[in-house]
Amino acid sequence: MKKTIIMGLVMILILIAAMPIFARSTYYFPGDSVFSIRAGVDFPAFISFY
Amino acid sequence: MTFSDTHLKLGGFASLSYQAYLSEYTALGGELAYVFNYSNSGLLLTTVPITAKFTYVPVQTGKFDIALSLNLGGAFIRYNEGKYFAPFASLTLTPSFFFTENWGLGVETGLMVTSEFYGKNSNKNLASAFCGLMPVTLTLSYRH
Amino acid sequence: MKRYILIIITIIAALLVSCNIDATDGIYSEAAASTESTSVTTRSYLGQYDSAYYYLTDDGIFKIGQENALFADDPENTDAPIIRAASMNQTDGSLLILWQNKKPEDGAVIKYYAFDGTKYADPVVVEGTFTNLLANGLYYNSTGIFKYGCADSLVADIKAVMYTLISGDYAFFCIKDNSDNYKYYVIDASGAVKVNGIGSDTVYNTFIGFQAICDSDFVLLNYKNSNSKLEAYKMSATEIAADPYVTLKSSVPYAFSTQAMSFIYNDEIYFKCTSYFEKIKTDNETEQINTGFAANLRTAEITNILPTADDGIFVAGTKSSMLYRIDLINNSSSRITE
Repeated sequence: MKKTIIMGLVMILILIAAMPIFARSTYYFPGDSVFSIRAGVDFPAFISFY
Repeated sequence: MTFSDTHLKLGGFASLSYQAYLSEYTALGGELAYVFNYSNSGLLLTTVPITAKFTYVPVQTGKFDIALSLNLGGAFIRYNEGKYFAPFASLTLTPSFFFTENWGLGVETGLMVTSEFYGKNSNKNLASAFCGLMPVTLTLSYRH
Repeated sequence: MKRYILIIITIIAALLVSCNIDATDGIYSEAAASTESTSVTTRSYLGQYDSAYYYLTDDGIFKIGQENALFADDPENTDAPIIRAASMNQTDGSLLILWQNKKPEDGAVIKYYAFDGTKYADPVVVEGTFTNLLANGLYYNSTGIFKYGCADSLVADIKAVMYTLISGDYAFFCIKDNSDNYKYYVIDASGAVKVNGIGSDTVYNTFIGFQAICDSDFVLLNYKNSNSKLEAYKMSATEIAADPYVTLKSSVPYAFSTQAMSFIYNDEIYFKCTSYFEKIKTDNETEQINTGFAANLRTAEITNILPTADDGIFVAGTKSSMLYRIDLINNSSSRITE
């Protein structure tokens, strides 16, 4: 659970840090498409019962 | 709500996704993934999420992107002869670097959550659970 | 636009079809209960002597903390007998071992090993061949039930022992007598017959659980074929109730287990069912437990459970993960490693 929270905070921090540096520049237009393929590892974070 | 040690080991993640941009900052599409984790007793837990994927790209230069994606859908889970179709949601962050006009490489991290729900009258009532998994993946993107 | 609608419809339709088929436990609760299996297959927990825990595995009799077996089958000699069952006397550490000869016609032989505190004496062979040795030290063949040290059989007029169930010091026997009637007996480790040959006209399907409350009060768990329910019946020294007093919510333990293991604490009986412990409370209500002490043992195949000298502490043998110490005072359980 702690790991998840830290991960989440790191994500938010990166987002906040990056925002002002690249002020509103855009690259994409409506109609552009992106095809992605991902592969990697998967960490088990939590199983909680309710 | 009680948290339990997952008793799962590090597993793997792979997926394919396709999205089209709705506006300069947002894209919508779908993703099909395959996730596996072995449990401590050596049995395999597989999760196959089929989701709609909504992405917000707040930072985009020609070469560098940061995308925040929300996946919503369902996942087929299977473990030791038990099968279940669970609601699935995930939130991921992908910083990517585009080394050519069309091709980019990124690192995607986030949290995927599935849930298993049994009603009060079911004999599996005590087994209702949420499961959170954290993928850390390398993403290869092709855009045009 | 059409594509998005299609995706959304598929997702909603799929969400409505959630179901978990072919399973008796939730998927994530089963995964969260998984434990590392050892390569050793435990057959039963023998007991505790002088603070050490003894148990029988497929490879022989071991003591926790000692790597080598105390008694083992001889892998070099393919004709040597193998250990089929064992029983330990927790007051003096002596062992009874049922050695199965490789040739079926030679049957199985019981040997008694006294323990002087440091080593085992030479075995005393019990005359005769036997079909089984129970955890409380009683053994039997097709003609009778015996105890070490008693020359005569404890029960006469036996054609065959149909099945047995164990609860601590007590053993429950279902016997077919020489007139082909089914009779029930309960005999304790000292050889005293507590329930002496109750016959029954009522059709119980098969008793698969047995818990002794005291010398004259027992509970039997019957699996009813017609509705797959587990029903608990009371048994006194002279009769078994015709009707059950409680029906459990849980399902039958794993098909290959011969007995639903149980223990009693604070007048409440805990039976190990397929994925829960089910507790029969004093008001005859039942409660399923899969957290606390049961969390680690949910999917374990338990071989037997014995009380210890400490109140609220029990030791359970598990088939793939050796021994667990169940602590009901702190509501936890942990694997015994030393």
